[in-house]
Amino acid sequence: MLSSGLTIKEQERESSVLIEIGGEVDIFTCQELKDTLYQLVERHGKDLILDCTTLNYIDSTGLGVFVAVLKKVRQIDRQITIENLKESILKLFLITNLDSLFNIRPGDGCGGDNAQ
Amino acid sequence: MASELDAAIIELVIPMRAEYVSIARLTVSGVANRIGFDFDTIEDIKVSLSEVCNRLIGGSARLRLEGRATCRIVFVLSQDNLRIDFFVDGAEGVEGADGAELFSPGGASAADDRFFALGDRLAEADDRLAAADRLGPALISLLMDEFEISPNGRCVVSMKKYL
Repeated sequence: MLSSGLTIKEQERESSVLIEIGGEVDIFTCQELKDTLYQLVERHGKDLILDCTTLNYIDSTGLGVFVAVLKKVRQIDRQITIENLKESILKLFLITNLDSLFNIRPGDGCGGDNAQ
Repeated sequence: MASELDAAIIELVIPMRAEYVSIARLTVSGVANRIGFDFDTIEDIKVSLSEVCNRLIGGSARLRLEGRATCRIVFVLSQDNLRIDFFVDGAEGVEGADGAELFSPGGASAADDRFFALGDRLAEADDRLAAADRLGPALISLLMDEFEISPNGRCVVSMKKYL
């Protein structure tokens, strides 16, 4: 069995769940990410903050997961914030207009409200 | 300016399975680095290559070709560009296994998908999951300089990036 190359760590906060996504999200790992995020939405019912500091790669399969999870959190009037995207990954959000769907912020380590 | 006659050619063959796409990405990283592309451009090429592999793997699964077909990726290195050709081997004689249908069922063209991406339809679409399925070809169109879906023959997709 090949290693998946994806890491997911969660940390519950008062009104949100911080999820560190690391490694690669591609056709092989996207289902694992989708299942995990769906479970977190169902279990906690809170906003999701996706910390992508160590996310090295994503393609359309991963972007599709983000959109699917966004639909799910919106059903319970919650939102997704994506932090610390690498330049090359942020570019994918911009050229596909997906930046208009998500709250994207550079992340300053404060976990605060100062969106870009 | 290098011609194709003095270009170096590297071939990689992977099974039509999701777990091997990362190996193709590693390979193209090295190939693109050898030509001299910068980091961001190499990332763009990696995404584009993966998008093609994703579509071919999906198409092969639809036609139940996983066990017999392989994806052959040919990297043609020139001084000022990298061309990547994708072939599907082992699917000869299978109905519907021509390049265009394997890559893009229903026959959506690269030009259609470029238009699709530049519009705001994705953000506005009610069925965003279906829209997301079309992200792949859109990304290739936007990230590569040339992108062609072969209407027939064994070369399914060809794309090129210039320095």
